Amino acid sequence: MTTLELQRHNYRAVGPVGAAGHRVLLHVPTTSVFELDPAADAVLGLLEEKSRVSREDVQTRFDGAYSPGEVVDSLADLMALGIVAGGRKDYAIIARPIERTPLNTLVLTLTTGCNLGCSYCYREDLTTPRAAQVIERETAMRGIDLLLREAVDHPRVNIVFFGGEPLTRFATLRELVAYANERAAAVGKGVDFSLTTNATLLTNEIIDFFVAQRFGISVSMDGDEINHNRHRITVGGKGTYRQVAHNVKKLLAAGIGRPVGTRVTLASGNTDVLRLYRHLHDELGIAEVGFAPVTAGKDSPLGLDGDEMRTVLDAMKVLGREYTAAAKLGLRHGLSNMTAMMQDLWSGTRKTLPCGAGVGLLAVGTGGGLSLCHRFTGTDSGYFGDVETGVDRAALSAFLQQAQELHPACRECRARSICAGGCYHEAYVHDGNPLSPTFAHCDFVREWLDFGVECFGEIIIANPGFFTARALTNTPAETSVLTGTVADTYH
Amino acid sequence: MRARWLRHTLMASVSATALSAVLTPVAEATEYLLAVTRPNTLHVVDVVARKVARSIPIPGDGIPGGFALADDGKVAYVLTNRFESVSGIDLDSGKQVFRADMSSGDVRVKSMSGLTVSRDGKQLYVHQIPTRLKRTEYESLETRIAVYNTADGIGAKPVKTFPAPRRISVMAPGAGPDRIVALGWDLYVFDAARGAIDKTFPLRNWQRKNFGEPDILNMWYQYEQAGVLSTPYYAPKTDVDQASPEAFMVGVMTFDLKREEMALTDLANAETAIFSSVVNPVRRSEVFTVMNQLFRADLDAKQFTQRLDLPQTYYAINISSDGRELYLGGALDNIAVYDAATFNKLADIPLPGGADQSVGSIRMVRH
Amino acid sequence: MKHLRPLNHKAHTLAQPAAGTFADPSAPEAAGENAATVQPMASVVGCTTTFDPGWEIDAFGGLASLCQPMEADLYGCTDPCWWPAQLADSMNTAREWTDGKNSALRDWRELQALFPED
Repeated sequence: MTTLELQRHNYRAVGPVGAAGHRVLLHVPTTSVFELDPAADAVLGLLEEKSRVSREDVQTRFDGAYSPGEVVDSLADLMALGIVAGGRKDYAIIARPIERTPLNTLVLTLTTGCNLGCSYCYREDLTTPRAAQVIERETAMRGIDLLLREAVDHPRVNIVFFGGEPLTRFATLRELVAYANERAAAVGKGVDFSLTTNATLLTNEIIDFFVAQRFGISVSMDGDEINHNRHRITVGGKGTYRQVAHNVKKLLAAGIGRPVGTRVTLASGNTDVLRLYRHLHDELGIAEVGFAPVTAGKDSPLGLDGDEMRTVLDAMKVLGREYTAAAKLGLRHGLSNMTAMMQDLWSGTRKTLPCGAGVGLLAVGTGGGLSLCHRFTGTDSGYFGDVETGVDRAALSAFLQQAQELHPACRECRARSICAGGCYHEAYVHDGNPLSPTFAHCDFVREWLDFGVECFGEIIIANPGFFTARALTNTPAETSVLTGTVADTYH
Repeated sequence: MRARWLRHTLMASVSATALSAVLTPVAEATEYLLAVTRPNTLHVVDVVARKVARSIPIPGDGIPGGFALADDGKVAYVLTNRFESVSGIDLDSGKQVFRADMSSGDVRVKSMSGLTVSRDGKQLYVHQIPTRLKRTEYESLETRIAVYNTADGIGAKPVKTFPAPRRISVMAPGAGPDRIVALGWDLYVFDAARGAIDKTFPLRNWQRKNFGEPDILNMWYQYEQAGVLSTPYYAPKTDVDQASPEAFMVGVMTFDLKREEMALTDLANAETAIFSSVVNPVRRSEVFTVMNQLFRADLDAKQFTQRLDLPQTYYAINISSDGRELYLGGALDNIAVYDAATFNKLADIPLPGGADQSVGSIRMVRH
Repeated sequence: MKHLRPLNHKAHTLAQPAAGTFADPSAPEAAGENAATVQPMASVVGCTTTFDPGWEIDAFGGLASLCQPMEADLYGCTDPCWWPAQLADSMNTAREWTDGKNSALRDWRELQALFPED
């Protein structure tokens, strides 16, 4: 008789979840999520116990508890998903040659200069504003032209201003916005603008401009005064919290039509995630707060060690549980890490590439070179042409082809369809090779994913309406704090 | 005196004859048959002379399918452009005088042969099946009937639309203005002014004792001579052993367009396939059906009364207004003429270019 | 899927490929009767209204009710997508398949096999 083998690499079951207390299952090859009914749960449980069973094993085990039909049907469901099979079952995804760049986002590095000297900054080419390399207007304009040319299938494009600190080049930025608006209108496309900034140079004039142009703003801010000032300091070593908080309040009060978000870099000594979140979201009123561990080499003192990562993850889970409780009531929560993961799990995002770099997104360095993304500008790596001669398709295609290949270490990993190997830049900094998986993060990613699947299951079972397409659009600041002050139903 | 009277009378009678020739409606207006062929041609066939009188190219991409005319028979509105457009062809001038292109943007709109014109020719009704073509999926949108003013000519856009069930593949004008008959899962009569179904005659949803759901396929416009929309149906019998030859019946559904009345006549155990049917305008209990055989059915006697094996398949069938000649068309590239009483073949009219009619209809028009 | 309840959008598309109107998967019951009906392919007619066994034999298990000659049926079936597996869809995806070959009886040999792109 045939034996059936559990294919552990193809699923992850978490729970029990929700009122009925059933397990929730992530189907890894497709990122579909199912709720197991008692029969399926029991059948899966038997297989998890024994790993390899014959059909008779299955039938005799459940004699009485479940009807043969239920058992057979449950097995059939599991087999249909390749969770149980007669032998090793893999769903190979053949790498697809990516011959076109369906670009829709361009990051413009306005300058390598920054007025701050944050201790953990990953930029290899960072300088003071005075010594900076800045992008020439013409070069940036060629970049914008390239974007509009390559974005054939997209009715809208995105332009992101980056640096160093892009606001040290506000005059140029303003000109480029005007240029982009004009050129986009001429080809019948819409254009959206975004910016990442340290927020120290936000003047009223600049804020007004951002409001008028509906900029998406991401502020790099690390929390309350003590924690923010730990690493986010001027070149002279002074903390910048007061200035940043003041400017952020002005920015929020100005009412840009798009939510303002902050990105918090968690580095050594700055791991009190809950406190940071409460300050930024609850006290300052920033709609979306995202956390990321610092990008640091293996030996960097700034990097988070095992204990610190543990602290961070536990705190993220506390926030994640808040997020879940809010979602079940139809309320929004500001932890953008959770929003992103819930979105991936709802859609069933299944990736063979870790991000859109080189596919939907390219970055222009100050010299006009085209990089995979903003993190690679100013490094020795990841160049694929320039704004004059265009995208080096052969090289980029070859890179992306390789990037799609599943690394042996990823083959059994339950996070492979969502992580897809991890950030190229992280890998580059850690291992010198953008194509190696981000091993340092693997355990974190898997634990966070398990947690996410459980939360997702809980939310969708209790409040299926939360994930309708409307619910996932970024409607502006209808933030509602779970402390129960204002109860906005999610809209 | 007498000579003068005679001459006067003679003259009077001569002029009376002349007058009568002018004033009396011609006993039979010249009747033509319209047919369509691939890739995109409308043919006017002189059935008396047994030849194609005129072949009119329909502008744009084909394939031509169902078509509709008002009572005056002046303009033929043909579904074409892969069933995404309606082209109105003036039969006198051969010119396109109306065009409605139904697809636009990312919404592809097709009609599966559902269209009709009001009797006065002013409104065109088209059953539309829209599908939104998104990047990784098709989204089925609600089906509807679109109303066009034929006077809007080229580039016409609907003046209104109203929801309509799916799978409507034949439409006809009903008992009065704004009454639209549509054959789909069931037969519906719409009040186009209100934009809603006024009456439903169940077919798929019929509740006939000992019968299962009928199977009907009809896309042919053959109702104009008798004013009766008819179609064969196949229905399983539920009170009979499934292996028995009586398990499946064939019958004809007739719908009187002026009275808006439906009749179902079971005819025989199903033994062969029948594509379409036409009612004899001079004897309305008589129906002729076609596919690989030509049948006559007597609706009063509830049986087939004559059968002829045909040398080839025909999908469509029509009949002269005196009920004497049958015209078989559709599928391949010819129109065959048969005597309705004897089933003798009278003529074969090849269509120019040897092109197939496919699912095109054949209709009679007076001109 | 009888014992695994789809929870996310992807799972719904896996588990219910024949679902009709694009219902909101988080509330399939809200779609009403349409969610349970297989919609005929929306851009072509009742494709198919009957599940004829195919082109090889007729609905009665013989040959007599197949179209005669066989080519008589070719365009009548291609054009309204009657047998979508056996024949090209000249209405949507293979519009040029029969260009210039307007008589099935005489031109069928010229028709080319279709291969998937990409």
